[in-house]
Amino acid sequence: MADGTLKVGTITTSSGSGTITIGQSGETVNVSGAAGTGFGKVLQVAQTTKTSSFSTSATSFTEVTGMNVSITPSSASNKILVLMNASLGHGSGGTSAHVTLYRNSTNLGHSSNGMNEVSDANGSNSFSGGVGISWLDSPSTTSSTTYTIYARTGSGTAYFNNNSEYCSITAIEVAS
Amino acid sequence: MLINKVLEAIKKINPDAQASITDEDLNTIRWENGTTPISIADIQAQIPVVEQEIADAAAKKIADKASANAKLKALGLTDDEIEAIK
Repeated sequence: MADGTLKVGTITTSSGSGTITIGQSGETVNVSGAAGTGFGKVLQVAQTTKTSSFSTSATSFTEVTGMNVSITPSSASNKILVLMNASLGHGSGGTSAHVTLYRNSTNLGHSSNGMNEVSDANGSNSFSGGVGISWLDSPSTTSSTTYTIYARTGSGTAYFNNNSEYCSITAIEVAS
Repeated sequence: MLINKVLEAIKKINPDAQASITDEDLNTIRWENGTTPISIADIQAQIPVVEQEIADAAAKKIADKASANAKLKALGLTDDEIEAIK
C-alpha cells in the first residue's frame, strides 16, 4: 500500500510479546498527533524549588528544609535522574560544608563527604560557591520515592542557599 | 559575610550546640544530634550581643585598613603603590 491511510485501534505483535518495528533504516517516522504516554525515554518530571536560606551547625548530615522531591516510577526497571543546584558555603573559622542526596532514608553519597562540598584551603576564611548534584538512580520500585538534599558542616556553620537564590531539585524518570 | 545571627546567639549560650534554621526564623530551629533545646527568649536575648559584635568587627576592619594605609604613607608609599600591594 503506497501513500494510503491505515486505520486501526490497536497494533500488537502476532505472538503477544516481543517488538514491533515501524519503518526501516534510512526512513523517518513522524508522530503528528498529540503526544501520548509511553513514547520516548523521559516519562515524567517532578521539581521542587526553594527560595529561603538554610543554615546548620550540625556535623552529621541533616535534612535541608524544603529541598525534596517525590516521584513514583512507572516501572521498577526505570531509572531516576536527580539534578540539584544551589549555593553552599561555610563561615569564617569553618573548614568545609557538604551536601548529599538521600533516597528516602538512604544516603546515596559518601557517608561523611556526601556528593559535593565547598572548602576554604586554609580554613580561616568564609567561603561560598555553587554546587550541583547529578545522580542517575535505580530505585527498583514502583512506590513513591522521595529524594532529599542533606547538608552538614565540617566545623562552624554551613550555609545552603545563603542569599535566598532560587535553587531546585528535579527528578526525571527515564525509561530503561 | 556568611553569618546567621540566630546560630551565633545559640553558640554564645552553648558552644557545643548543633542546630539548623531556615533564614533567621526562630520558629524553625531544629536541634541536632541530641542538643538540649534552648528557649527562644534566651536566644533572643543574645542576638543584640551578636549584632554588636558584628558591628564592632566591621568597624575594626575599617579602622585597621585606615591605620595600615596611614602607616604605609608615612613610609613614603604613594596611593597607587599602596593600591598595588593590596
